[in-house]
Amino acid sequence: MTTETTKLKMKVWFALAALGLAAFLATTGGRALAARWLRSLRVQKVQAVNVDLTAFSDPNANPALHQMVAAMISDKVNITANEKDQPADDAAAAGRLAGFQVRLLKARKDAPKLVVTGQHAVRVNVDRARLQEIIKAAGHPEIVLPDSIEGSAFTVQLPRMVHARYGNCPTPVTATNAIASQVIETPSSGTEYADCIRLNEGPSPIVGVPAGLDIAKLAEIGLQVAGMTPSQADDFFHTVDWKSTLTLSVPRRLRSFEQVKIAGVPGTLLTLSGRRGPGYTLLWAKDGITYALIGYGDASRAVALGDSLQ
Amino acid sequence: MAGITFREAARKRILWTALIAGAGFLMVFGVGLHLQIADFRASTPAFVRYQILSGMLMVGLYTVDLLAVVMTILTCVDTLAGEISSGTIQAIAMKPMGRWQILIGKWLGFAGMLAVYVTMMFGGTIAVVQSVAGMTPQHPLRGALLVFLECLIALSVCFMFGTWFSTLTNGVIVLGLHGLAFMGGWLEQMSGFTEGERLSLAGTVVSLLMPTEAVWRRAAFEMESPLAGSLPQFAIFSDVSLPSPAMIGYAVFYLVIVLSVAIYHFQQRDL
Repeated sequence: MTTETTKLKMKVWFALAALGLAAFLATTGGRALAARWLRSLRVQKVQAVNVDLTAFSDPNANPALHQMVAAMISDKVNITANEKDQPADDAAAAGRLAGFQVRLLKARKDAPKLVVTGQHAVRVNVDRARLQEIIKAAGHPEIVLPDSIEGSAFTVQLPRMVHARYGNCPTPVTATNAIASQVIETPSSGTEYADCIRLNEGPSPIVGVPAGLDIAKLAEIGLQVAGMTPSQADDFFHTVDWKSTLTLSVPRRLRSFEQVKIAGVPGTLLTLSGRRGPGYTLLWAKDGITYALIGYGDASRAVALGDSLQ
Repeated sequence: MAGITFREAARKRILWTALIAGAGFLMVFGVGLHLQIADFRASTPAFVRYQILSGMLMVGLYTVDLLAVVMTILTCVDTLAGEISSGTIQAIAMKPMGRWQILIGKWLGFAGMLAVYVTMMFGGTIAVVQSVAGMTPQHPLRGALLVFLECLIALSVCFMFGTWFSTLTNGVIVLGLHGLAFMGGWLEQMSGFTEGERLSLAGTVVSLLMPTEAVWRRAAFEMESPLAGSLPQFAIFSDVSLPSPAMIGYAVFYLVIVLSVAIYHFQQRDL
């Protein structure tokens, strides 16, 4: 009898507790508290700077190099500036918004769609142990980071840039359809986006590096992660200002890499082998402005297109 | 009671057979690792080699983790449930000790056995990787302790349901719960692709019912190389929706509650 009474009491207590919980969750405050508690059970990650993926990315792309470098330095990235992007009607309007003279492809007769990306800035405090491990993993056990860099600040300011899009380009990539395209592996028709050209131009990022930290080496590791061989990554940095590469989302499937002359300055032509993404990326810098020309068509036309900039 | 349980497990050759199976695993793992290294080309960048080997180490440790949890469930599933249904528990209960002492004693015996198993398997895997590839995971002790905690949770759940149900039903429930946790963990991992909060939340809620997989994912985070964690294309267990220290606190709380319920119900029920 006593056992039966105890069992009954237990059932009543359970029922009351369940009712109490249901009543608590029925209130807005209760649900908010429950949501807060559930969130506390997972590590809240600070998102990397919200650069507009549509302008930089394609189904073949890695994250932008500065995001990769920041992630190597620490798992906590603080966003200190994150302006919105703005469309512009013409080169003059884009230039006024961006703060530099915008140059467009004379070889293209069609009018481009212009977007001025907002200014972005991130600050990362160096986690020395993490970084040391990554450098070791990258095959450089001989590099020993000084203790003094622990906690010191690494900052990247990405100035406003102009993105010009010509022709019929693929739908802007979202995280979902990027993953879907990776899984489904749908080959593009080859000619569907043949006239698509993207031109990105803007000043080099402003980078604040603590003494003793070789960011160029980290950027080189990032390029290797993206698919370049160590010698390609090394050559790449001999032709391109490494700071200018920080805004690039480095393609995953690199077929070849060559140095070219463009508008009287040295440039770098990356030919890509991805079935879905662009066919080439041409990079060069002139008069303090960095240019990236990304095309889906024939790579042999890239230099001529770049030369037509005015 | 703990000693008796340990000796019984040894007598039933549970520990030995588990260790022999474990030795087989280590041998296959070692051969696989050796072949992988032999297949590296001279042009393979150092960090790619490192990440591949690091990935293999994590796969090895994940296998150890799965083996440890499944071994825990298989070995403990018959302990209380079987003894109650066969009536052998009455002979034990006749001894001058409280029922809670019987349960805790058995629990400690199994915990000791699991500690030996996890130590040997974890140590073995790390030793194989160290000797073949010359690398070690980050924070191996933290990882091993978290895997041990995961086993203790499965053990306690097994004991709790063992006080209610028959051996087979108990096994089905505990394995089913672990399967649920496994699915929840991977749902969270998948949520990283689309940054889907609802999917991640579903995984978090499932981990409240059975926190074993969440504890493993924290262990994986502790042991994985930071490069793998920060560059998801190289990570097998990337730190998407990473369980926080508060989750580990919840897992410990869960263990205590489940064990308390097991003791309470074992004391209340008719034998």
